[in-house]
Amino acid sequence: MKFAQSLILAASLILSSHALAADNYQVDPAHSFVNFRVQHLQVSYVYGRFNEPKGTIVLDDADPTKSTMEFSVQADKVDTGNSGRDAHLKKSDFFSASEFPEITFKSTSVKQLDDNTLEVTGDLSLHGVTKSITTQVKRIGTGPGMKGETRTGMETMFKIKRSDYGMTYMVPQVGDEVTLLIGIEAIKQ
Amino acid sequence: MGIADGGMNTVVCLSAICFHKACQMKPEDILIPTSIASAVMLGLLLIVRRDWIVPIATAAAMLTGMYLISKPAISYLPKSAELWLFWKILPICLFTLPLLYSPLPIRLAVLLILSAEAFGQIFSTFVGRWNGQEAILWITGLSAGTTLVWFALERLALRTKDWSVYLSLILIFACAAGVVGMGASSKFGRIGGVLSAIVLVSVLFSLIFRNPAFVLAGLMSWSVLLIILLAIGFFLNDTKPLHALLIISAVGFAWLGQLPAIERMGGWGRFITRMILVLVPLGLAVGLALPKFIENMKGELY
Repeated sequence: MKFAQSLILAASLILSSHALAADNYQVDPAHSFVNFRVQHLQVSYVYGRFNEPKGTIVLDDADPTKSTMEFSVQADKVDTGNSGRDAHLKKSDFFSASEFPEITFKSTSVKQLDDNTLEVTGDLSLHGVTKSITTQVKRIGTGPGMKGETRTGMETMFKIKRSDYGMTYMVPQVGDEVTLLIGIEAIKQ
Repeated sequence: MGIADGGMNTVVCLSAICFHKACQMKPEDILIPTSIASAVMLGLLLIVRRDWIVPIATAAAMLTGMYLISKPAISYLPKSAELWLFWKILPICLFTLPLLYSPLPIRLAVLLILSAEAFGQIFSTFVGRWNGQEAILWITGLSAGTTLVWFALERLALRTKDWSVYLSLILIFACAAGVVGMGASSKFGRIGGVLSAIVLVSVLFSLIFRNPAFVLAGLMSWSVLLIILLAIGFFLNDTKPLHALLIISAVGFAWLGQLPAIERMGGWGRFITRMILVLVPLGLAVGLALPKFIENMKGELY
């Protein structure tokens, strides 16, 4: 009897630990977006995006502080809908993509604010400069994909000053403050 | 000479204003940094009036001009070619100071090492991606090229009695700045503009005081900075290798002006022929870079 109880206890422990284990996700570039907007001549905004973001997410629902996020985009994937401007943005007046090909974000701490919101602090590396930023990440949902895989989605919006990253060309005609709106969809591995 | 100087100055100023207007720049973009850098250069030359001040004045003027052009970016430790260039201006200029009075072989050897060190640092973000052989080839090639350009310019300046060599110098530096600027880098183009202004001030000073030492003393640091700007244009931006090579080849074309047939010509004929020889590669470089630049400027990108 005691042996059976021990067996049941061991089995339930194994099962519960499996259920609570962190989930690994891979960013789906086809359904993830790194958009930005920046003021133009202080009269309107120019919108752009970085195509094909990559990254990995580890989500630990039991202990969100153990969650981690890493994202990257290639600086030469900048796309503002104007090929001439995009070509210039990749050069040393702006992103200097030859020198700094990758823009990365790596979380350093994650806190759960409420059921659907995480506060993520991490290092944003852009144009050879790394700075810590904190942003609120809203979890949109988790559910099955078209092929039965598990997908999760999240969104965040935050602002940076490009001059903080050494990108000072054409301020203020092209605004210093850049708003980033990032939508991520990731597939469970 | 006074009228000629005034004329040359007017042409350069008019060109700067036309460039300024064409690129829709504000005064603080190019006119103010260039003017202040020129004032620093001229001030130091006027105060000291010795050839050894030229590298120091070049460093002071370049740092001032570059600071005014990319001010906030320099607060970081060097990680980019731009910041490395800023930090390297002082050693590049000051290390050439003791070389002014050294024997030629020592000058050649030290300049080669100085250039290699500067290129190695400035392109440190690339060196990691180059394989060892590529890195050695590029850095050796650029350093050897720099040393050769300086040597050719110095011998030419020592040999040529008329001031075609001075005008050639100004044109080479101004066209280099233009070509770099038209190659999708307004920032480095403007930094090249500051360098051109420094050369212009030294040349005028040299002509007014009838002392070529004020040009000869700056040639080493100017040559290193010229090749660095062209290399940055090529590696980081859209400066085509052909355009950069045409600019550099102008030094060789200037040497063609020393051919005995041209040497035998009369004063103005010789001067004009020498200028035409230099203007051919420079005109080609600017002419080839211009259409793409005009197309971009028409694009209303910003």
